[in-house]
Amino acid sequence: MGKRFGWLRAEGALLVAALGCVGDVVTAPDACPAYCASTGITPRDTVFLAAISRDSSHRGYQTANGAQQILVAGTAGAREARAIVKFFALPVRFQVLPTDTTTSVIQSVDSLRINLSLRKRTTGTVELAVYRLPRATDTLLTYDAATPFFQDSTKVAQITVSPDTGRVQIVISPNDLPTLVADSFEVALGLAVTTPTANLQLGSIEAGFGMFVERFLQVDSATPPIRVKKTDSRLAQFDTFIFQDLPAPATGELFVGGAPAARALMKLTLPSRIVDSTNVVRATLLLIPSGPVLAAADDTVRLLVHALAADIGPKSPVAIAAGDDEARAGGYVAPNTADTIRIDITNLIRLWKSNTELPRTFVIRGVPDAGTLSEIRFWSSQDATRHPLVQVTYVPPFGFGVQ
Amino acid sequence: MMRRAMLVIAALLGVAVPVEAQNSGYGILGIGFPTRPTSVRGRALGDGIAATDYQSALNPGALGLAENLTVAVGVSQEYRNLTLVGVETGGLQQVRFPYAVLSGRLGRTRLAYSLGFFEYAERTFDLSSTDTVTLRGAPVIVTDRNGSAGAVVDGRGALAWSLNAKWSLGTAVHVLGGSARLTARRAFSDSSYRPYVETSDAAFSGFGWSIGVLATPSAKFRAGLAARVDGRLSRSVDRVPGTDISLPMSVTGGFEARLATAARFSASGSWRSWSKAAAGAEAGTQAFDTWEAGAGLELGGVPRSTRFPIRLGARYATLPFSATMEQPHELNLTAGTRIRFAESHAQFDFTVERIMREGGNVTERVWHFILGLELLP
Repeated sequence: MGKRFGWLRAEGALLVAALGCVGDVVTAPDACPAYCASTGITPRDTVFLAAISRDSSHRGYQTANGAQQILVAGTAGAREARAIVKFFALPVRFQVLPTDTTTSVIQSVDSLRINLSLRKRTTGTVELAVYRLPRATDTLLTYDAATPFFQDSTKVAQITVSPDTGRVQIVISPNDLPTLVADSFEVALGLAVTTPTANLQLGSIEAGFGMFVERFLQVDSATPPIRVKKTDSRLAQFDTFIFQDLPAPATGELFVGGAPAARALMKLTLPSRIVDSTNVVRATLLLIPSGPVLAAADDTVRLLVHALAADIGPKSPVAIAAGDDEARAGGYVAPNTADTIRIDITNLIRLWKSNTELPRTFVIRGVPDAGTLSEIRFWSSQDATRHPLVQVTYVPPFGFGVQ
Repeated sequence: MMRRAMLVIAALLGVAVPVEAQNSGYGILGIGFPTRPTSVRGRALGDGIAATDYQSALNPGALGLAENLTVAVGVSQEYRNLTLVGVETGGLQQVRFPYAVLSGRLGRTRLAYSLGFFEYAERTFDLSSTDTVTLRGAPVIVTDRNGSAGAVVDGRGALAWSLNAKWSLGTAVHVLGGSARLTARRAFSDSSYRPYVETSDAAFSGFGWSIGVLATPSAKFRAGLAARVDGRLSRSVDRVPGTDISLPMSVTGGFEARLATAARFSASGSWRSWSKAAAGAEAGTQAFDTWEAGAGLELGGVPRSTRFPIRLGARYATLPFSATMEQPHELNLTAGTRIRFAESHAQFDFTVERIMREGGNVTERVWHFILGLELLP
């Protein structure tokens, strides 16, 4: 019994010892080349002159009235932008008690207050002016058609925008809206910055930060009448922004960004020995601008590149898993710059290595779509000397010292 | 009993793989750092009993001393300070599982056998270096990290025939195997460059053969002599064959003498033709023939003496691989003991080694603790 017991315990000890061995992985200093186990990590850098083909641009991926933000920009940039907002009609009569559907005549409107969500702004003093627009204003209003309403005669308020971000409130006197009652309390307004170098991004309905209007009024609440003060509000019916049209692109020009948002599609052809057999550590798409970036003041554009799930032309879906908004991905384009645009596409190429079923085509877009007035224009692959280039830094497979 | 022993050995062979660790700085070159296939007791005696120890894998003829079934395994822990080309690093350590062996005699015949594995060469390291390279016209600092985790293992099957009480002859077949996980990494100081990582698996294979003789002219003296020939070690990375490397021929001889009832002295020496490996080693690696000599003294541990034997040993050896024309060498000072339990059907052998290695721009100081478990069912 003792012998058998001792044997079983020893067997268990052996197996535990065999399975339980662990150790540290530590680092000791190296002394190459003598003590380098292998010294074959040799990055190579190559510029591919004809890697881009079948490139095209298409507009309309996102319209201004469906954008995630409302842009308001001064006249100093290439494009001035003005915001248009129309609110749902405020009630003509007021329901004093929530439990009583009886409504009362509105005796007077003391004031209106417009609430905006400020998402981003340029530094310095920013003067924001509010103008009244006709009740019939809709999303099809153009910049030129709206210009007559952005005059001093139609200005209803002007404020100095103080917070960097957050809620901005603008008080409007009903005296400045003489057709308020006749318009059945349906309010349409236009917003513009009077500071030429200013640039604002306001929240939109689509982003969940739409504008709303508050009304401060007086009604009779009882018989005989007792005048009480009440308030109600209405959300925006639609919000959009309008801007001057840019000149049409020239032949051979591609364009990205702006509003309605434009995207460029490109096919990238690199040797398979590089994409599939090496480790790409950095890849850059080089675009030659056809002129200074057409941008609003201080409006830096971010460009991102996405792989496509299928290549079916302008309506090609972006591969969801390939969404690449990593901080070092893509590129940034400052306003008025005419320097070569450099867009990091490293993650794109590494994705193609891991997923060979994806087409070797990608889309370039401004981020977010219709989130910038800036339109980037650059030469396409049809231009013999100014076509896009791709620079790739890669590391060939490692030999691991097995000769 | 036999079946149980076989099951245990089979389980051990299935899981016994070298563990991740930082091995000797000399293990970066050649096939790695050659490991001594000696038992825990043998190490405690400075490898003095290498030629006469049936639980070591040097002399198959020594199996003639095996009478009962025994199973022996060892586990070791190392603590190392390493100076590599003037840069000192301390606090390195690793755990290893260097051997497992089953031996016994077939019934009451004159035939003894042994099955087991020993570590042939350790190839585990993790090195980092920093450099500056020019990429796209700008200097970029890069940090490289090259690593290997694995070893070459010697699976041995041996038979010995006891001609009579004084002579036994043995032979063994050695199957070399093993693998290593290779890693190469590079990180760039400029985050625009993504890190580079590549891993691969190296596999090793080879064969060897050894013969040996053990002479026991009296109860107080025995001597052993053995020779081993290993072929070529085939290496491949991701199944792509690389250059084979020639393995050495080795000759081992030694003796063990009982000076008194409770005092035993042993000494042995070995020579190996490692210079053959130069052709297949990495460029710039020097390979030298090696020789080693060790002696040990064991006091007590027999009836009517101390229960726990005192084992002392010393060993000097030259090492095969170097990055310079200077051949490295090592000096081992050892001590150990044994504890029996379970009515002497099991025992722990414990050895501590102080190893001092120098040469080839590398200096090492190692504390090596080895624990062996032997079962005698």
